[in-house]
Amino acid sequence: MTDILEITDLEVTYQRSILALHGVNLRVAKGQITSLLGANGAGKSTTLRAISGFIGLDNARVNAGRVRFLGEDITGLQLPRTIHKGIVLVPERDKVFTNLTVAENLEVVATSREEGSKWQQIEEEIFVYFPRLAKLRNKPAGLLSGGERQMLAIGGALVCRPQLLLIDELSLGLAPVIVDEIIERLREVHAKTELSMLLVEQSAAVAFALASYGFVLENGKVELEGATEDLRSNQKVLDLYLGTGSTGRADYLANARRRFEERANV
Amino acid sequence: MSNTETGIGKIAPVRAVAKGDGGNRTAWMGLIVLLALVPLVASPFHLDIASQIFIAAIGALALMVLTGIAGQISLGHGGLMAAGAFTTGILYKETGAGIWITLPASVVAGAVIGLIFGLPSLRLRGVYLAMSTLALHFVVIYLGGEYEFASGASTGIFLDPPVIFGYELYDGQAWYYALFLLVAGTYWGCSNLLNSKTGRAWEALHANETAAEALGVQVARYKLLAFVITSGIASFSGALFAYYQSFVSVEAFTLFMSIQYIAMIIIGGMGSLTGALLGAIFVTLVPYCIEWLMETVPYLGLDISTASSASHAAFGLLMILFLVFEPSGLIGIWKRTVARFSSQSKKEGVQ
Amino acid sequence: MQIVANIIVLTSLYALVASGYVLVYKVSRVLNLAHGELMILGAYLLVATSAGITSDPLIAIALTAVFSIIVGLSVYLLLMREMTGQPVLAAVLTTVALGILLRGAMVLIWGPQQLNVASMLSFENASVVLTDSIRVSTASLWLVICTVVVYLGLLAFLHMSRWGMRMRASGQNPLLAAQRGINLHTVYALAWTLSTFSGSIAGVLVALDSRLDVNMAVIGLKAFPAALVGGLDSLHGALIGAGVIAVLEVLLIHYVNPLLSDVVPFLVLIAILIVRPWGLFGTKEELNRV
Ligand SMILES: Nc1ncnc2c1ncn2[C@@H]1O[C@H](COP(=O)(O)OP(=O)(O)OP(=O)(O)O)[C@@H](O)[C@H]1O
Ligand SMILES: [Mg+2]
Repeated sequence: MTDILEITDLEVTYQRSILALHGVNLRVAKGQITSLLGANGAGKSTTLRAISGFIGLDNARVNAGRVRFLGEDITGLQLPRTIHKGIVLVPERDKVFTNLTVAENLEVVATSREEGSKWQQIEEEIFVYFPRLAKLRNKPAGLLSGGERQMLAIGGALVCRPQLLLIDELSLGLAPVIVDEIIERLREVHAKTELSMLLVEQSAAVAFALASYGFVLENGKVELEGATEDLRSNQKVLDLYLGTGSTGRADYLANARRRFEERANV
Repeated sequence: MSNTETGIGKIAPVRAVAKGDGGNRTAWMGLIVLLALVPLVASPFHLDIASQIFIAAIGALALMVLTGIAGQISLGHGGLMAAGAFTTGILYKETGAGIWITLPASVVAGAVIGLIFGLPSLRLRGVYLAMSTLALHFVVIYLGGEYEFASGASTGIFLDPPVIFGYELYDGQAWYYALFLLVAGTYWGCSNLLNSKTGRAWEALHANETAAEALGVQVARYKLLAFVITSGIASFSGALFAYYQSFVSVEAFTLFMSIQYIAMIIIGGMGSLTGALLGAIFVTLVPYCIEWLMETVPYLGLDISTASSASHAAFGLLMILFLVFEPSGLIGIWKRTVARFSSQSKKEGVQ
Repeated sequence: MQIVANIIVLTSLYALVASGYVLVYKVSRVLNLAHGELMILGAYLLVATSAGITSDPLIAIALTAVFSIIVGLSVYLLLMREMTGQPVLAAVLTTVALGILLRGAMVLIWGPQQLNVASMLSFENASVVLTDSIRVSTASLWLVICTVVVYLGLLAFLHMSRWGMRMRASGQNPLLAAQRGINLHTVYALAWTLSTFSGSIAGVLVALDSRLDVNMAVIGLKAFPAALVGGLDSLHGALIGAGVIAVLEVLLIHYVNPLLSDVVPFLVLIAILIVRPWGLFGTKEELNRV
């Protein structure tokens, strides 16, 4: 099995001094879904941004290590280039254009010239994956629920025709029913396209439901890795990340509040 | 919304260059002595330029504290100077009041207007604040124009030379020394202010208003304080300007004047009081340099009617060059040069 | 009734100019304080083309349109591009500097005297009798028509074309736009170009209607309150803002004091900043961003 993405000994600093990752090693197998688990501040988002390209304002730097994509060294590649290579990120926050409608959110996405001519067809494809969005077509994205936003964000990313999809916090703040639905949809996408994905999660349950292989990040280092079945039976993982009970609920409440505030602002 | 910190082309607070500006005592004393000796050798023309620089320096120090230190942008500096000039002019014309009444009255008028300028800043930031100060500039100018119109003094108000302790401030040397003392006093006052609790609060709210508030800085209070103090000073320099020109007219206080003061703090170097002085010197000298160019390089095709436009263009160009290539201004260049020389001399010392 | 016609003409002028502020602000969050000067530059470009290149007024106007597009593009590529990622303050001050530079340069090139552009183009600015009691100049009529066309065009572009949507998207969330492969520099350049273009139309028509000199750049500043009253990021807001300012200005000049003309827009600006700084139709969140 070939790896589409391979990260070796990656070290990242913020503002030249804050060491966020120290020596991360991970791989994403082609055509597979890989999960990256970790607590708050473990460095998951940083890892994803290191792959998809930092922007100037992050003031972040790769100090050491390599990122290889399809065998090619892409360490430190900047943002528009990574997209052209086929790496697309679904960010943790602000993942949709709130002032655009659902359909417009899909339409603005830059596609290559030949794809551009048939974007309407691509859009319909997305609506097939996420039928719920089809009904919301003309609604401003700012009025969507968190789950709908997540679907739209994934849809927008898919329009970019990624070879590797990076998703930051798939389930954060979403109600279990919605999470189940999104998982179901992603499975369908994966079954149809064999798209490689790297899924950042705090909930092991979600990660295990989708991924076939997983990494556990702690304090900027990979502490544990293995096939999902092995991780599933690992006592440490069970203790730390399978508690969807109290922390899951707290997250849910916090995010519900955030969404409420965002909507009030629109 | 929440992407405030992450957007492209946004914010990242302008870091105030450390104030204090180092500079050892003896160098300063030497400079002061040197400056005190200037009138003994300078021609009246040069003294006139020096006095203009001094007046500009007082205004520039005020704007530097407001924008460069406290981070509150103001495009209405010309309006504030107009307020000071008109307060003095009107008081003198209507009541014949002397300098001991007109100057404090101008400061108070400036402070009051500063309070009004500052009120929007409690709700507004950046661009919006800039626009509200710009609007107030036009309002002040309008009121001045109305007064000129209503009082029949449509050509402006004439002022007699001010009298201090029975001595009439008339000739260039006297003005030079008086203004020199006032600049020194303003500089001293401002730098003390910056080293006080107030100055630290201003820097905090410049760097990050939300954080400053969280750290217990009374943001509203210190913002208003910044506006009130600096507007008082600006208005004061406007009054001095009026006395120095012995004439007040709205014509003098154009938007271009506000832009010139902004040019001073940009060119001098944001966040540095010494930078404000350098900027005042530089900006005051530019029109003279252009006149000089006009005389020495005749085939440039400049003449009296285009000289002011040439200086407009020059200001624009200089501001752009500094903003793009040297955002830390003259003071930044100066510090780098000093650092290079001192490191060189160190190296030589080792050899 | 004449007064209604005057209000409509003035509304059109302010709206046309304000659209330039809104475009640039909506897309890149930069306030372009050189807009007034860029607008006047459009008129001077017409003077230059009609004096130096062609005597046919229509070709001259077409060439002016092309030149103004080049100007807008260059302003972004040569200057404002350098300011991306800089503090907003620096960007705004750069536009202030650009304004003063243009102002000086225009006088150096074309002289300080007033130019009669209409006669240079042998354009007869006859007054058109609409009804017995209402008459407006030909140029004013064109101004109203152009404003309507520009607004319809811009709204259609922003909402129906993909690049237009990208402009709206980039203004709302530039980071996500970049993450979705939208080239922000292209989007910003487009905004500056369109803004300069619509400003130039206003400049040309104002110059045809009266005379042209560099002090007319102040119209740019007077139109800014219109953009702000409507909400700096709202195009239809700018239209309504322009209406508000125009009504107040015309009525106050007519019934109170002609001298107020220069200050009315700014009084309205202060009032709106105190009461509702994000404008009638703007997004409230904008306030924290700047
Ligand atoms: N822009 C930044 N500047 C400075 N430090 C940062 C920045 N972004 C992240 N960090 C630091 O880097 C570390 C890793 O952050 P990261 O966002 O990658 O964590 P995470 O695993 O995604 O956490 P979460 O689950 O909360 O999203 C944290 O300690 C964080 O404080
Ligand atoms: Mg994260």
